Amino acid sequence: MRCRKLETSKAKEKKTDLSNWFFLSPCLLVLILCAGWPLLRSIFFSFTNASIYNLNHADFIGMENFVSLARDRDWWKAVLNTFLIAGISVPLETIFGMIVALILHSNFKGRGIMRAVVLVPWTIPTIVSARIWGWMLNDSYGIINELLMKASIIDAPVAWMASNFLSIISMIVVEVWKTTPYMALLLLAGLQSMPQDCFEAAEVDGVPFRKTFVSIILPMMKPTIIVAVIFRALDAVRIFDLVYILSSGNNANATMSVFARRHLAEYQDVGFGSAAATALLFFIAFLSILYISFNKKKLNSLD
Amino acid sequence: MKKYLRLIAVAISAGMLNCAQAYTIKITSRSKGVELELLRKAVDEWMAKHNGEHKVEIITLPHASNECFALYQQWFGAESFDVDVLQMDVAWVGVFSDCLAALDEYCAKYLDMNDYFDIIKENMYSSDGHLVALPLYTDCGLFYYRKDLLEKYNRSVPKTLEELYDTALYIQTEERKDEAKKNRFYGFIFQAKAFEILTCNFLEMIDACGGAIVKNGVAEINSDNGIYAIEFLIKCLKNITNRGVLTYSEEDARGIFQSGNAVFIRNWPYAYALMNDPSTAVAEKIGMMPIPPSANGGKESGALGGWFMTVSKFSKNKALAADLAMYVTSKAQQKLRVASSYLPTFKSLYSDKEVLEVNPFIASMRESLLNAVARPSKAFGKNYSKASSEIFNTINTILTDSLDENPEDFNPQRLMKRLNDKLNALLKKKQNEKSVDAANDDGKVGFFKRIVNYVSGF
Repeated sequence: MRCRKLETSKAKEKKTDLSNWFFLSPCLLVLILCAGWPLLRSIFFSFTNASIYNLNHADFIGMENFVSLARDRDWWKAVLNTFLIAGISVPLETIFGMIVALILHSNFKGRGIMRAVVLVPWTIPTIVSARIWGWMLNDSYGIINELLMKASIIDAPVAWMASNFLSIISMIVVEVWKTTPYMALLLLAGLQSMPQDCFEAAEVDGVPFRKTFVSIILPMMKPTIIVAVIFRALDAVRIFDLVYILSSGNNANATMSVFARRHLAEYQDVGFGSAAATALLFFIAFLSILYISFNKKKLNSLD
Repeated sequence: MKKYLRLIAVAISAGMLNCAQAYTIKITSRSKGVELELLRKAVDEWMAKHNGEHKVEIITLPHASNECFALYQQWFGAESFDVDVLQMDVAWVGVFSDCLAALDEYCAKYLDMNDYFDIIKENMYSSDGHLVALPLYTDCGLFYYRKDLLEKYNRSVPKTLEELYDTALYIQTEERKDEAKKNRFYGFIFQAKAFEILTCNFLEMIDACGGAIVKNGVAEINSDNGIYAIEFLIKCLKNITNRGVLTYSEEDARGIFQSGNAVFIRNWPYAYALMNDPSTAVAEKIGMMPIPPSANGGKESGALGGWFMTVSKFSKNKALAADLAMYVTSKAQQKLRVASSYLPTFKSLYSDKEVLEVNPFIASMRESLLNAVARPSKAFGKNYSKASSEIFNTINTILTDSLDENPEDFNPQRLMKRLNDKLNALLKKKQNEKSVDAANDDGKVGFFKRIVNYVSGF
């Protein structure tokens, strides 16, 4: 009798499983059409010599595009730039985001308004904020030069975007400004889902904040921080709009996605551009697999 | 019920209107300044001329010209789109000429070819000799200078590039003695952002120094004259130019000059009207001249710009489209555009009394246009955007490095040589593509067959 009951529930599960798939199918279909198909197509194109004029009768040329990509100095420069920007901006965002989250988590007057205000940089479309920063960094009218000169830190205006080193630094600053709120939002959510009694206990025992932070908040927040960092890192590796608007257009300060777009759209080189885009995809996939598996081990050992 | 009846009546009458009209021509237009309004007016006149028989739809293009270029590539790449008349930069005609309709049979008998400037005429034809583009207005790189400052320091208008450098350096040094202008006043401003505009800037510089980017189908950018041109720019950048020019396009540069912080500036004719606006610091103080030759040998120069009207090969009514293109680019229409500082493409208009009355500065442009130099888009064909990008990237890199790198490490010749090789490779690629195209015409092999061929080739 009991056995039969179990079986029926199993059958029921199977049935709900099927109906789940049935209800998911329209969404999946749209996803396959909108994301899967273009993705496969661009991977496919990366093995051909397709240009925008011969998309339908391109030749299959094997790994040739990837070989010339590996030999392309501009590509490796773009890879380096991308990881430089991502590698510096993500840790900075995490630190600043944590500080902002801790402030917003504490009790003070006008906290609700502050929480909304902090989000502003992140909600402005990147194109708009990049243009605003472009004007602020402008060498002859920019407010940043004006302020620095008034404060006698520099005595001649600096052309921020006209040197490879300074332009990377400037882009990192803007990127950090733009995405810190996002980080803060994710971390704040993590802070709020933590059991409050730990804090209260620490407070009652008179533990200094530094200690509370290191031994209570950080360990408990670890999963949240890891997720937030992964999200941001993957996002930062794809960085496009900021660089496209702010930089002088020189290959020397392009990132991977700017490089791919240039070959696809400006040089009509669909094959080579797709190869660059595919390489970028593999970079991201490789990184996320590495990171997730690494952290899984660590997370498991924590339990 | 009444409401529905009315709706139905409207729908039916709209449908009838639709039946009556024969064909809707689609034309693209840029929307910079008053360009779109001028075109709309011309189109309305054309429709009135045809008694409203045909309708015209105007499609506005993106602001940035490289975005328009990318858009056209996508359209032509798709091979089927229903835009009939396309506004095109002078440098793109050579790139897209395979996709443009030959206009010989529709237009040739109406056009007075001798009245066009030679350099414009050259760009109206495809490489196989068909008329494919009708010029709407033209443009030419110029130097503007501050008349008042030259007078103040008792200097004449420079006749050579070297003289320009000396004058600019002298005036800059003197003006900078004023505390307010210290570190904020420059001798010469040009555009060196890594975009098409830098290709134009360098092209006229190399032309003024007696060199060329491509000569007889071979890249010559790494010639002595080319090296001289790049070294001249480096010298300017180090001493009389603002470092920011490495990120400037036309409008950024205009801002500096217009607020009174430069002696010389390179720009297009459009800037004249704007900089002469009474609200600017330099109104009524501006003079213009062509890019002067180098003392080393060379000629007066200026990069050719300007826009053409073309008809797509895929248009379903080429005769009508050609008629519209011809109407908007006609002499009468170009005469109207003069008031808005658009340079006409007909020689005769430069001595036309009415034209000179409306815009006296036009007369001085004739000489510049006779000396103008076109970008090598025909030589590179479909690879032009890649070639241009190699040029502006290399020049921008050289200029940036000249400021950042140690003098011992800085080696512009190496980069110029690499650029020259790359350009030659692109020129060769174009020749190869031609022969491949000819071979492919026999039979188009399917894509999967090609994969099979490739794999079985191992």
